[in-house]
This record gives sequence, C-alpha cells and structure tokens, in this order.
Amino acid sequence: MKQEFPYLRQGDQTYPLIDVELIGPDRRLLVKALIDSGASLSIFRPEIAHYLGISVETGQRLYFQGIKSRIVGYLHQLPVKVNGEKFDCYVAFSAELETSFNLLGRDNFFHPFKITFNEKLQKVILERNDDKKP
Amino acid sequence: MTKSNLAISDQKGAVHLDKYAGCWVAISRQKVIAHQNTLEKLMKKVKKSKLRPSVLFVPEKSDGPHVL
Repeated sequence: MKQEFPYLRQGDQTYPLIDVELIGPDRRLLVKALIDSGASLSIFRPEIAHYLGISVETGQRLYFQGIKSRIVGYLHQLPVKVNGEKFDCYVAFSAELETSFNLLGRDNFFHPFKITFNEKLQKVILERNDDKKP
Repeated sequence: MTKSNLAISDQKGAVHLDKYAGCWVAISRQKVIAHQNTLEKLMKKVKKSKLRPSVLFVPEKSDGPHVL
C-alpha cells in the first residue's frame, strides 16, 4: 500500500510531514510529524506523552546531539500506526526540543517503509517495505 | 489577496495555517476544525466532534528554516 503526504510550506521552505498515530496506555493520537532522515531516533514534544498517558521520565534517559547543543530526552517504546502498518516504535520525548515539529528518525520508524521524498511534487510517499535483509 | 506563508496543499485544496502560529491545530479533510494554545484544550474541543483529525503545533512566524 502506498500513501502520499503533501509537504508543509513555510515561506520558501517546505517540510515533509506525515500523519502517524501514537497509541498510549490511556489514549491514542493522530499527529503530524516530520520525516527526518538525519535523525537517529524519533523525538516528540512532551505534551503528546502527557496526552497519551505516558510518564515521560520513566523512559530511558538519553542525550541527543544536535547541530549546536545536546538535549535530554526519555526513550519509550510504544505502538504506532501509519499507512496501515502497526508496529512498536522507539520514541523519545523531550521538553528541550526546540523545533516546533515532532521528528521521526530512522531507528526504528523507517524500517517498515520505503520512503520517497519527491521534492518536485512536494510530497513524501510511504510504501510498505517487503525487501528481505541481505 | 495576501499569499499564505504557512500551508499544506495538495490537489484537493490547501490548509492555511498562518493565523494559528504558536498554537495547536486539529486538521480534518483539509480543514482546521479546532485550534487552542494547548494540546489538552484542543483535544477536549475535538472530542465533541466525531472526526478523527491529525494535530500539529504550528511553527511561530519568527521560526527560520529548520536544519535538523
């Protein structure tokens, strides 16, 4: 199955956002998040954890290195659903995240998908990845 | 008409988000159905509708290009 998501445009810049459903112990939430191929892990805003019923600081404390500085985040594993695929995903929550966007990083959000960034058409395309490991 | 600075567009139309900068919005079927300054307040408002929107914290107008 293939699903396409239009980019968000902010002035001259555009950003590949997709809809991802996070499933917490109390509630679930469909949220827009940026596909960030430069990020090792996914990092979301702490309000989302609170809404889902996740106690942020019970996760594994990690430092995330950015361009200028590092931030502290707490890593959790929770079910996520996107493009008909439901799987457990590592997601960190950080009150120090300074970008407005939630970030979807490669480990392990990228594993179930082939992800195409179509800059010309300004959309990101997710397809299920049926490739076997070499 | 002023050109929208912040939007999500596809063939079906565009969702213009300029006036929601710094707020949480709930988007369903290419429309902003609710906006609030916190996610909790937003979801309380959304709960009254039967729609299942996706939510976004809209970047501030002063935000520069993101280098992530």
